Amino acid sequence: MPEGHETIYATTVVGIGSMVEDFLKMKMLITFGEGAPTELLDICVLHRPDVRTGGVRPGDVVLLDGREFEVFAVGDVADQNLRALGHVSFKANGLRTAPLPGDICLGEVDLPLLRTGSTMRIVSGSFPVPTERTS
Amino acid sequence: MSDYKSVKISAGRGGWGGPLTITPTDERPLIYSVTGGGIHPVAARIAELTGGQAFDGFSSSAPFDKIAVAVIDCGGTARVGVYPMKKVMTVDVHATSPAGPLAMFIKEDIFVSGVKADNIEAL
Repeated sequence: MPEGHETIYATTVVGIGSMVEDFLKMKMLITFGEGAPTELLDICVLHRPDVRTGGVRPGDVVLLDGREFEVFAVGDVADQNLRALGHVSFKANGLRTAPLPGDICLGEVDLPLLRTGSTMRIVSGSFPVPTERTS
Repeated sequence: MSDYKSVKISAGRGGWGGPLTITPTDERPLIYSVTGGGIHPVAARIAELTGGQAFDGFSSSAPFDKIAVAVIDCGGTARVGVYPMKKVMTVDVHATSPAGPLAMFIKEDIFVSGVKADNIEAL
């Protein structure tokens, strides 16, 4: 990892809720860490984090199965949710100001459908990550 | 153990919805805190005033039909809709308004937001 680009969150997907694909069509991806209450499992990607430093900021990079997405905006409670609960609402809306406090906004991209065993990383520093695409 | 009391919970500054009247029962005794870092102070206060049982939804799971009220610290998309969708009275400590894919379920008679301990009144 080049200097100035640190992994601040790294996790592996352990389950995909039945409503996740529908939410992807609405350009959103919701995650919770393992231990989330049963009633939230339908709507989210459930995952098991290895690195949960947090501190995500605009300009950081989210890697979903190695595909890079620039962080455009971070809502006021999004980083706290990420660190405490593994919870994020990624919105691929291209907005530079988060409409909701829990949002992490990305560009207007198609978010990938993750599966069990998929990886999610968040890397601090400017987009794009200069080198090293494999973990 | 049916000596439960009621509270009225109103929207706090910048909040939306409510007021809700919450009365736990023997069938629905749980004040269900779905928040980071244990029982949220708002859930603790509701439990204290009503005699309900504060419960941390992230440390163990509870049968859904035992919940008197869910206390969440949602940033506006997920939890904010899931509990109202399942017809559970919902209190968000953040000042959110109906939004997200489940916004259609978020109504004034089942949801209140921006709630601080001061917005909970014993009846």
